[in-house]
Order: sequence, then structure tokens, then C-alpha cells
Amino acid sequence: MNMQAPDNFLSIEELTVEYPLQGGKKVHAVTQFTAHVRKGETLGLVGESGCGKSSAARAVMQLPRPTSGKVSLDGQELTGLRGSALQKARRRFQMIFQDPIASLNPRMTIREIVSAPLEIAGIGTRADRDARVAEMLETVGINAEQAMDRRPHEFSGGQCQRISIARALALQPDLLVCDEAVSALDVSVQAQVLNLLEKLKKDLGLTMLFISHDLAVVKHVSDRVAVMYLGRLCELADAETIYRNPVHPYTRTLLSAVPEPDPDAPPHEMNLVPGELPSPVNPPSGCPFRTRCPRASEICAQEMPELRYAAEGQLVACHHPHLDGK
Amino acid sequence: MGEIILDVRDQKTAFFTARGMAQAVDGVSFTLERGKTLGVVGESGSGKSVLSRSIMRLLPGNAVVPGESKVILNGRDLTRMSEKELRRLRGPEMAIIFQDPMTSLNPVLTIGKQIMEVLTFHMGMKKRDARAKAVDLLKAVGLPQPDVRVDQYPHQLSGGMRQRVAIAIAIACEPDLLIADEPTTALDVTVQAEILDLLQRMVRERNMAMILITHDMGVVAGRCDEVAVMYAGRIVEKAPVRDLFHKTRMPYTAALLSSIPKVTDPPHRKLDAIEGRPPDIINPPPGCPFAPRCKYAEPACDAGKPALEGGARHQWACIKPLGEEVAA
Amino acid sequence: MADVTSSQQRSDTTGKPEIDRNALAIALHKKSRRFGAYFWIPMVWLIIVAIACIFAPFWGLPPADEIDWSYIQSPPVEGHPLGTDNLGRDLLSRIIWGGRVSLTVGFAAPFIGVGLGMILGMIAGYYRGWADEVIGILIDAWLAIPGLVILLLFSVVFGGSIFMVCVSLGLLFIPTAARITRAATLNYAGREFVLAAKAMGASDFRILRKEVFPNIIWPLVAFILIDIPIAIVIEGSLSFLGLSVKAPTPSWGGIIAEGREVLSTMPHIAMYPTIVMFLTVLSFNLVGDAIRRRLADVREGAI
Repeated sequence: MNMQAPDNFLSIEELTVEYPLQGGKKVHAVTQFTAHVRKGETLGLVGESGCGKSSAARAVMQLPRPTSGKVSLDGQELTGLRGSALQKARRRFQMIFQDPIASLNPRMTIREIVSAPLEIAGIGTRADRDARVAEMLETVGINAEQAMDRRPHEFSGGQCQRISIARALALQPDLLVCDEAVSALDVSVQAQVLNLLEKLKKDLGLTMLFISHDLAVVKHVSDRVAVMYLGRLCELADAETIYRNPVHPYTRTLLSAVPEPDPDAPPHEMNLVPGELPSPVNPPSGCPFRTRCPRASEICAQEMPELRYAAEGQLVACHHPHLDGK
Repeated sequence: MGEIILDVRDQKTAFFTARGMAQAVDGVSFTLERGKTLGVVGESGSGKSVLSRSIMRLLPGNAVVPGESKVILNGRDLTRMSEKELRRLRGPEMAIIFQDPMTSLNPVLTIGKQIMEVLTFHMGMKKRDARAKAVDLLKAVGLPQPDVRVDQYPHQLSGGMRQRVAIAIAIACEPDLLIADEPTTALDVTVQAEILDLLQRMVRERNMAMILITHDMGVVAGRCDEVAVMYAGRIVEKAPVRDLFHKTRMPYTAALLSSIPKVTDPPHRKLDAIEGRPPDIINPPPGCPFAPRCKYAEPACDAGKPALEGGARHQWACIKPLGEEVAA
Repeated sequence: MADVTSSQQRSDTTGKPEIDRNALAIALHKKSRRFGAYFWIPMVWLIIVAIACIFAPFWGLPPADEIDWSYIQSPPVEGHPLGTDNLGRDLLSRIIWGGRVSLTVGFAAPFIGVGLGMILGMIAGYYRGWADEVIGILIDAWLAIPGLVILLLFSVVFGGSIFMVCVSLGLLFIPTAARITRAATLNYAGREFVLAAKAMGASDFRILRKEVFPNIIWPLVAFILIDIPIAIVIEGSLSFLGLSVKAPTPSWGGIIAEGREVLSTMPHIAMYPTIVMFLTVLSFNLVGDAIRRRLADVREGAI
């Protein structure tokens, strides 16, 4: 595949994640997912439940290693690492999770929580680590002096998420994976944390993988966006393009379903063939979206469409993309 | 113009907690007409869910409601009724749909049995008639293969389907008032659109009144006739939906609208985040609860809680409301 | 700069008329959060028993196996506050020394059982897979063997030292402790903070020690509190049957057994140790319940 970006800082190739079930069946969470992210870029990953975006994120983090496929960060192949080599490499990529309070050990103090990565990496003395913890907490907007010796239950969701961010950035990673990082937060707090993430990304030169089901949020933080359905990549393009001119029928459906905070906006036309989301244990043959796609035809059932360029910088996997513009 | 189904007067609900009294709802009043949908928007801690439970009189043991609060449904005061009388009303006159259909449906009973339960208890139907009606209701809410699904268990259905079942149960006895408490928050966005379409259709076809509670301004914009914005247990702005978005008066509403990312925005726009956090309802600040976070606040704002003022259609609780036109 | 909410601050709510309607409910709610009489009265008894037994050598009691020929089978008289048994040994002394056995077994057996069970449970719950299967089969097999048979076997094979009694009783507690630990470990091991620790490159041992262990300890504490009185009762039954510590070491069950023979003529021999044992077990149960209730409240507040 001929990618425009010369430097693939984060390279995900043919990522496949399958979970075994009883009776020999498998859950096909992610199938042959390929994407490349430039250094300092944010790739947004959207889709509805069961699309595999969280599984893909965890596979990138090697938590656990994907069933097959390759993930490389800055040239180093992560999927091939084992044991202490992997442990050492982990300093370069970190993750923020959806549930801010469950992300922190309720029995530990904030100081212990944020210094844990430093401790594990064996960096610095106790005093050095404390200083770094204080520095990180202040960077994310938490008053270090007041917070250090308290426990997570004394903080709000937004503050807990900030603490998670402080912990994730303590070792100055290159890659930050955000798995629905703002989905559990109140609307007004969401904006604060999103602004914080944007600022930190710029200040620290982070590369980000941002997973969310909320299209508006994803558009906000991403440079490029990948749309997933039932474990497969449907469309990958830069943020503005994918929202203004989506080409894959599923992307169009998704966008038309988003309720806009404007009472004068025309009512949506979703155009979905009525039916249920197929099970990831038994995905449809060929293109997984064909069972609900208004443009499906015979070839869609026979052959999985290849990822091709629909326009410059816009990749789509569809036999009948909306190339006509609207 | 229409018949007033619900009249809530000065609803105050407090909870006794280890740290003191938490005033979850602090003096909410509104009326609702038949055929209309009222959207109640707020973040967590705004009191919107407690309000819905206060109207349905489904409060836990440590809740305290003073005597002045009244909830008048179809002309009858619910606060004066016994639990036995209320049980007779829940179903035929008022019904509620909750956020998580997995926990609001009984996992060990078939869907059919759960719908039939409501029909036999309230309408005295025989089992055979109730079952036929159950299948009809499932068809009405758009559940595919209703005659097969009626004998299935909740875990065999997807989230969207379960919520349809919850709606079927709610409308089974043709209530006048339907409260939907975050009905689509746990659902995918495509399913959300379908469920909201269904709710709107039900309200129209059965001429009900609906209270739609949500934190999502997008949902409110497209689905409600009137919107009430709640903050710290009080209604801080109430207006017809277009006026709320285009003639916003309360700074909180405006701040909320400009802090949410929208699909129509360009990427990486810096969001106008509201600083600070929602107030502690156990120890609220004196004066306007939004004052500590409001960029227009002045010393007068801390003096006392502003009362709702304005016209018959559009009211706001602010001593310095915003001007006529605010870019939404 | 975000500030931090303070915990545990009571606000001033006196004088509001709306609250009176539910004053009863509020008062009851408050009451359940303090340690009341149901805690302190049994606690006092336990402290008395503990001090009496721990400092047994210092009370100047006649030795437990010393026979006083002048007062055989005697009800309480001077020099023998609780009388003597059918061999003329001072009952109070025997009960106090017997208490040492009961308390030792009562504490040691649950701790041994929970200690070993906890390790098995953590391994099963954290690693899952075949470790979980193997340990599960072990536990099921263990539970299938009647406890009495095991205790009999141990007593016969290993003799009657107090150490053996503690170990054999402790073994009986392992399966349940393992199951409790496994369930608690499953609950916490799936949470994001454990995943976050893995993402940081923490070793499994570190995760089990620092992330999982501090969280699963609470249900185990509750379990230990339930087990202490159970262990005392089992030990009492064992010594009644002569399967616990061997004579002449006194034990409550043993004294009761001796008193059984002369129950019609000298009921005091069986009665006093029975009363003491009953009060002690009841007290442990009451204190344990109060602590468990408090723990549940605390944990809810913390999470």
C-alpha cells in the first residue's frame, strides 16, 4: 500500500484480534486492520459497539499481544518483544482508560499511583520521584500539595482522569492511547479534559490514538479518522474530509445519526436496512456491512472489498462508495 | 392550548447522607401539556434523575420531601396519595423508562410475561388476551419477529431491542405521562436515533406528554418542544427549543452550548470549557450556584439565589441575562 | 487550580422543620454507623478472657493438674472459686489454661487457612487458565472429604499437639478462603487500574502484591472474623471427643467431657466451662458482626 506519509511512526499492519470461545468458535474482534500514524499526529478511531476499536487499541498496547499482525513504534516492532524487553519498551507507549475512577487503585494514595511507573522503571530516588509526581500533577491542573496523600475516592471523575493522564505521561512516552477517555465524564468536564489533552499533545509532541464512539469528540481531537465496523476498517481519511464528504455508506449512516445541537438542522435520513448488528462470532461473508447497507449487491457478499484510495488521502473499503459527492 | 397533564409545584427533594443533607432538587416547578415533549437537560448532580423519580414518587428511604412540594397529575395531587393508590396510577397514568434496559428488565422472566404482568394487574386482562396484546405492543415498538421474541429472555436481545421492550411495557396501559430518563445514553448512535424516533412516534400517536431527560444537547434540539436546563437542583432556564438555542439568556446554557464539540466544527478548535466543577449539593455556595464558574459573575450574584423570571414562555434564573441574540 | 473535596464534614442542619418528618429514619441511619452496646459489652468480655488466658501463669492459680486431696468434686469453696473437678483439680485454673488452647486454636487455625487459601485463590483468580482449573479441582476434592474424617486422621496420625490441631483445623478453612479470594481477585483483576499497571510494565508479583492484595483483604478479614468462633467451637467438640490436645493439658471441651460423667451429682464441673465457652463464642460473633458492618460502611464510602 502506498502511504503518503514517509515516516510511519506508529505502524499497524494486518492487526487481527480473536478471542476463543467454548465449542471452537471465535470472536473476531478485529480483522486485518491496517493504519499508519505520523509522529505528532492524532488518529481517531470511531465506530459503534462491537466494531473492535477498543480491542484494536489494546492490541496496539500489547495488552495482550494481538492474534496476528504487526505493530511497530518508531521502527521497533512491539509485537515481537517478550519479557523484560517488552517491559522496557512499555515506557514509550501508555494508555488512558474510560472509567476514571476504576483506573486508579482505590487503596493507594495519589502519590503512589503517579509514581508507580517511575518506581517500576527504577528511575530516580524517592525524592526525585516525588518531585516528578508533583510536576506532573501541576501540569494536569491538580494541586499537588493537597492531592498527594489523598485517595481516589476523594476526587471527582474529571480529576481522576487528570491523575490518570499525569500517571501516563510520567515517563514521557511517545505514544498515548486514549480509550474512550472522556466518554464517562460530564459534558462540561469533557471540554476541560479535551483541551488539556490537546495542549499536552502539542507541548510534549505526543502521537495519539484516540478511540471514541462520539463522532463530534473524535473530529475535535483528530488529524485523521478511521471508521470501523465489525472489526474491519471502512474508511480512513483526514478529519475534515471524512466529515464533509464521507464516502463509505456506513460512515454516512453514522454521521447522519449524530444529533446536532441545532433545532433548525434538517432531520436525519439514516437509510439503514432494518436489521440487527451481526454477531462478531459469525460475521457476514465479504463486506461485514452488507446486511444493513442500502447499496449492497452480490459482489459485496462474495468478496471483502480492498482498501483503495477514493480521493487523495481518503482510503475506503467498499465496492460501491459514494464517489459522486453527495 | 392543550390539556395540562402534569403540574409540578415547588418540588424539593433532599437526601440524608453521612456528610449532611443533600438538596438534590431545590424548588422545581413546571407544567406539561398533552402531546408536548419537555426536555430536561443537565449534567450529573443537576438533579434531573431525582426529579423524575420524585414525580413518579419512587424515592429511596432516606429522601426528604417537604409538604409544600406538590405533583399534580391529571388534577390529582400525588403527594397526598398512599403507596397503594400510587401503584394503581403507575402504568395507566404515568410510566417511566430508565437508562439501562439490562437492569430495568427482569432477567429471569420472558419479555412476554413482563408485559403481560402490567396488563393483567392494571387492566384486569385474561392471560390469553394479555399475550395477544403483548405481541401487538412489540410490533408497535418495531421489534422484529414479535411472536418469537415474546417468549425470549432479556439477555437474548440487544440493547436497542431491550429498550424497545421497556417502551412497550411503559405504553402498555396507555399512560398520559411518559418519563424517559436518559433512554438512549447507553446505546449506539444509530440505535439512539431509532429509539428516539420511536418515542416521538408513540407520543404523537397516543397523544401522551413526555419528559425526556438527557445530558445531550443534540438530542434535545431535535426532539423536544420545550427545554428546561437544570443546574444544582434548580431550573435555570426554560424555553421553547428554538429560543433556548438561538435566544439563550442563562450564561450556563450558553457556556454549555459553546463547550460541546460539534460535528460541524473545524477540528482542533479550542473548546470554551467551563472552568471549575458542579457545586457540592451538600454545601452549596450562597447565591447563584453557577456564579463561581460564570464569566459574567459579579458580587450581586453571590447575594441570593436568583428566582426564575421572564415571560410566559421563556424563563431564566439570572440577574444579568444575556442579550437577545447569542451565537449558538 | 482544582481544589479537593473534603471528606467527613458534617454540615449544620439543625432547626429545619422539613427534617422532623423523617427524624426517626435519620436517627436510625446515624445509629448504624457507630459501635453500640452490641459491640462493647461482648468486647469487654473478650478482653477479660484474653487477659486472663494470656497472663495465666501470673495469677497465682494452683497448677491445672495439681490435685487437691481435700476437695475432690467440690462445689465452690475457699481457695477454689469455681470448685474442683472429679480429680480434685482447681476448675478455675483449668478453665483459664484451657482457654489458652481454645484461643490459640481459634486464632491460629483461621489465619493458617486463610493464609494458604488466599495464595491459592489469588493464583487461580489472576492467572485463570489451567491454574484455575487445577486449583478448582483441588478445592472441590478437598471439600468432598468430610472434615471430621480429616480431623480424626490427623489426630490419630500426628498425635495431640496443639500445633497439629491448629494445622488440621486450618486446612478445613482453606477451600472457602480460596474461593472468596478467587472471587475477589476476579473482581479486581479485571479493573482498569490493574490493566494500567500492566501497561506500565509491572511484574505479576508486583501487581498481586500492590494492586490486588490490598483490595481483596477486606472480604478475607470478614471471613476470619466469622471463622474464629467456629474454630473455637470445633476445637471444643474435638476435645470433648478426646481428639484435641491430650490430657493432662486442659481444654474446655475436655473439661465438659469429664463433667458429663458426673452431670447429675456435680453439674458445676460441666456447667462452668460450658458457660464460659458459650459467652466467648457469642462475644466473638457479636464483635465480628459489628466490625463487619462497619467495614462494609467504610468500604462503600471509599469506593
